[in-house]
Amino acid sequence: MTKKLRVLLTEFPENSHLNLAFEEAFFLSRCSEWTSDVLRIWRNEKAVVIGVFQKAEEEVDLDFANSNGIQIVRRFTGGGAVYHDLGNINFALSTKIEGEGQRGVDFLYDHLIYGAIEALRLLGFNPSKENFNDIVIEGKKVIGVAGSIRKDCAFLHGAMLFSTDLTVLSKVLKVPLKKLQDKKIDSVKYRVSTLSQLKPEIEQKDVILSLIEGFTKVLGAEGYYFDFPDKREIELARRLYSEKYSTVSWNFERRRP
Amino acid sequence: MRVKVETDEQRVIQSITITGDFFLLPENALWKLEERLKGAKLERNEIIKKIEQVFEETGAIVVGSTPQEIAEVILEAREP
Repeated sequence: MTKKLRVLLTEFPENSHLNLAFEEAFFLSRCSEWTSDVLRIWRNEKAVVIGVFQKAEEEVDLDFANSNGIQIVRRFTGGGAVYHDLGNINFALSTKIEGEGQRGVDFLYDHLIYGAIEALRLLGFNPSKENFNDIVIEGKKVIGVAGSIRKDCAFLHGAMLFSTDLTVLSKVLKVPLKKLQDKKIDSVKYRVSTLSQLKPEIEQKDVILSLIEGFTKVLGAEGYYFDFPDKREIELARRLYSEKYSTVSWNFERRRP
Repeated sequence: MRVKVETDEQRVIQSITITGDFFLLPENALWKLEERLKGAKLERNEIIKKIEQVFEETGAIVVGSTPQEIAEVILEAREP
């Protein structure tokens, strides 16, 4: 890849379901070769986003979510539930798998993830990777990523705790105790911090620029440019929204993709 | 990973759902696995065989776990 990286700041913070519809629309568009690589940076105002294999009632305190106006939306990638507020910065990269014989999974978790790790380095942190999909600073999780593969295209998205309200996070997410005892899962998944706690002087715009620079570097792109979603991406997102992401059967009944 | 399984008197699986925080690629392999396990006997060799079949057919990869570990979780599952 030698082109400039296309960057979108398209977000619908008040509508997490539409946000997640766009997430899949950008990936499918990249797979269909309509578009070049795309990095999207965006936020939800108040939402729990659960993994495709999860059930909301198992992961979320539904009463707490209800009484606090927290939306619940299921994404198309695996992994665990995350809480999003405006202090949580999401990034999503849709690209093609480079390198012959490269296993898609390794491309996601041993290559693309370094875009986010590099972003934290640029912000002056000393991050490390744990559990293959968590990024940790000083022993505390600040980013979790999840990805998917369709043939030769790869998708990696992640949630970065910038200034998230961790009190709400700990109330709305159920922490499975059995998991904490499971030797294979480091309990860092449940020890979290925010970038603002670690370095109060960091501003949101620094984070955005670092993410762009981190992923530009990991893709070997020659710089970047800002863009809007195109007409086909918008149409696809609207369809995904009405048929999938806005439905109870998708979000709560674990309807099959 | 959580497994909910219902069996009949002969320990034949009537319904099964595998939920939780894990990564299986392609994601569709999970629904295939659940379907394939329906009608299977809840005993080690048969469960492992069904899981291996689905993984072979779909080219599935489970990240951070193994097909054997999925089998263990299923075998540990209790009736709801």
